[in-house]
Amino acid sequence: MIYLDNAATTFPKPPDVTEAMVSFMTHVGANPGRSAHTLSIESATVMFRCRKALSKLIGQKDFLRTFFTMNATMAINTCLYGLLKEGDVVLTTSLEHNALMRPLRMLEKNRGITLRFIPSDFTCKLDKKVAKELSHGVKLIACVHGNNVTGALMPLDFFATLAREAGAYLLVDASQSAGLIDIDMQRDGIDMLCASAHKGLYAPMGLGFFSLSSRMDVLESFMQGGTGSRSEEEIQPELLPDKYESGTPNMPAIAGLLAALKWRESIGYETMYAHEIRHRTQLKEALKALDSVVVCDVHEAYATTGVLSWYPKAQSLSRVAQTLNNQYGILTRVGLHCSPATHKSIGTLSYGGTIRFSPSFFTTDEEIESVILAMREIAQ
Amino acid sequence: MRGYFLLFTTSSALYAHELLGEIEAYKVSLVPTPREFSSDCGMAVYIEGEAIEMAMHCLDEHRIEYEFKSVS
Repeated sequence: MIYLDNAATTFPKPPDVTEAMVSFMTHVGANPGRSAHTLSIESATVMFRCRKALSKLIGQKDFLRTFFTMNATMAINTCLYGLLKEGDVVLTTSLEHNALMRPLRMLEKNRGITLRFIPSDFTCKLDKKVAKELSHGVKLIACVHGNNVTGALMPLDFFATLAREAGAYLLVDASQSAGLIDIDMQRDGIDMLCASAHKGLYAPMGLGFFSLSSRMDVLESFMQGGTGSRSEEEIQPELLPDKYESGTPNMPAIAGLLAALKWRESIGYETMYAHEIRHRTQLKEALKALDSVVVCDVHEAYATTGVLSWYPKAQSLSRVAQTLNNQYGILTRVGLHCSPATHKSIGTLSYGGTIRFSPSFFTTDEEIESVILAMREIAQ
Repeated sequence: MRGYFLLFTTSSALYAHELLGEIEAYKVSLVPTPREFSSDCGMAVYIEGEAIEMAMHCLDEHRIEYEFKSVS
């Protein structure tokens, strides 16, 4: 099989990740921060090292401001619900994943916040002039970094300037870009960075994180519960990282992430990015040569991740995806990819979405060649 | 001088242990928080050495909250 659904979760994971998880489950296995026996300390040390390594990767100088969650969705919810109050105005884009869009819509309905949307054309190019006009008086600018449908990388520098000029906080959903693109919270002016660990960071599923700038002490805790600290008190401690981390964490996944971070450090951004982009380019050029499909182009001013979307002109999306799966063993994702806003903006909502190819560092040249041959056969 | 640095989170206990462990003048170890000092269920850093003020300064510099309990 050829796995081209890495934007949903990368597969396979590096062998080091599996080994670290098995090793943790076999030799450590204890709850971190709930006891002070040898194995609990060992478990807590894994978490401590992982927090430091992850913070280093994202340019977070104070590693106690990086927090583990179940996934990126929980990270985003934690930030939005912890920050926004009645009357607040949020500026976002018309290209957002439902991980951001749905909590924003719920807060609009239940908490009385106001949403403003930066329009985009069909190539994911944002209207910066309108964005500036809409930015006055906003409390928060929230946007995705790497679009999960088209691969378009949003201009973080523009958002950072916009946020600074508007006196707003900046939240970035880096689920599709963390690990693939160099992100530095301080350099990039990010106040809240949210991401999953199981995509470009090659950690197991069930783990995400967020990291906060020093401006974010205003953020209230979203979930409260046991932290192993201030146990005599019935109110949530303000101490970091405990304020935002209640309950037992997913330690096997955190052990996996620590191994994944070491693995990816040995490879580096340039090599990983070049690998994905080379395959994306090959797929894109091959698809563009076919009369029967339409490729969802990204504006030339925008860089991309390895994600590529397309759709057949005359055939059913799901039927083509099924053929790719059943006859060629090519695994893709078909539909709206939890981002109806993007499909609306790029004009593919009425088609029922797109078929998405998303290679990873483990996708081989031979696999890409096989996909291209399969596409040519299907097109005949 | 001997004593315990009581830390209030597991992360800060590990961080304090790491920082103080780098100072040659001290012998440090992670231990369960002594019940006589705190009801917290976490860890404390036991320290032995001269001029504990230097250790306190180190923790202050890294904005780690603590209480120090001296033992004879």
